[in-house]
Amino acid sequence: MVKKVFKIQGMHCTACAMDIDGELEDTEGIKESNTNYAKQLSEIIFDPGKVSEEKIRDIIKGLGYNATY
Amino acid sequence: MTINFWTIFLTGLFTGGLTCLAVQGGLLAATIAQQEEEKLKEKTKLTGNALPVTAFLVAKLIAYTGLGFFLGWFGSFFQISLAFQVLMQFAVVVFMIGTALNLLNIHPIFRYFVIQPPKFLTRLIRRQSKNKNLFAPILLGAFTVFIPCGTTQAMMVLAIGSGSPALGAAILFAFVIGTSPLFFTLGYFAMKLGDSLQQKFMKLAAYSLILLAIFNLNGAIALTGSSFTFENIGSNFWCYLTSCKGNTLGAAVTEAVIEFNAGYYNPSLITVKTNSEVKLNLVNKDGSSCMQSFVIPSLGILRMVQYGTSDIVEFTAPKEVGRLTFMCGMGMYRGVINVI
Repeated sequence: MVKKVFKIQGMHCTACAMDIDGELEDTEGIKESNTNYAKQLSEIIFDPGKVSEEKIRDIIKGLGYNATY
Repeated sequence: MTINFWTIFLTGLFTGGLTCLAVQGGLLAATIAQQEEEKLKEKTKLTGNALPVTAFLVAKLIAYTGLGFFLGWFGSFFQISLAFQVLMQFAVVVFMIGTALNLLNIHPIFRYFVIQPPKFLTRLIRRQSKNKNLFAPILLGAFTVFIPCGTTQAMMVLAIGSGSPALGAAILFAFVIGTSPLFFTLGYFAMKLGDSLQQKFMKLAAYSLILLAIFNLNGAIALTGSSFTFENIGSNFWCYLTSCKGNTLGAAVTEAVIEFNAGYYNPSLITVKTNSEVKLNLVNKDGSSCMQSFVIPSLGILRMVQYGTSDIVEFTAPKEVGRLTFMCGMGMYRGVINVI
């Protein structure tokens, strides 16, 4: 398990953070996701053997936000 | 007050399609999808999304109205002194302006005006959206009180500031009713608003929040006893242009009856002599919500006069000629005591 911080762009309110966390935590290989709206950051704990950073970024992108790490 | 509720309703109307509600819509769509699956299994007829969306919205409306009632009741505890009331009204204004500036994306610092709900609540609500239960949309709708977005939080603060359960409930009722048409449409067709349209709605919501904040600021200024309310500045300016003589003054009295009616005082103008003992009989005939507290800011008088009751206020008029303003607990309804 590794912990990585992703920078998120395009969140309009706290519900977006909830959306991102929910979607990520439903993904196989991601243990926990904590998105902070005010800081526009996501702290994600995941298993790099099961899910890649690119895959995480794509999931976030799919929800309509931009993620960089 | 009528304008106020319209502005609240309009704010709701513009925020109805914003991301925060689109997320709620997403959760609702997930719930509906679960039910459709169940229905397919049972081989029953598809009835469309109207029923679950309506159930969700009605539950949401009831939950928020209840929350407004509770917040107004909570706010009523702050009406212990005039200073506290003034402070709270100003805090409401700051919070609303902060929320509006965040919507307008003025500076990242304003993101801190939005309170993020704790993780365990958001997890609970997400889990709820996957429930196959027939009552799932209703529960989900009620649960949305735990994930209010920025604008909703501003309305919640306004409900606290109202200091009255009935008014607090009415504020959130008007707001959620406002959000419903667009939400229903989006929920029914399970879609989101386009980005550019969302931006426009966000701006409109921000502007109506600022408008509401200005209403509140005006009330807060009046509560401090300052005469620099927008109406006064306006009428002074008008008098400067037209060289009007001001309000016609009646004969000076030492005792007067002030009736509280729905939204106005009768009379709203009385005249007293400087340094005289004045006795006011306050009769609350039909004054609900904030009208139940009677305030003369410059004399530091705050009196609770419940609906249908009456009370007596006695004071010594100031030694100087001038105008004393009396008003309700939010500074919304006002009248004048002319000191001659």
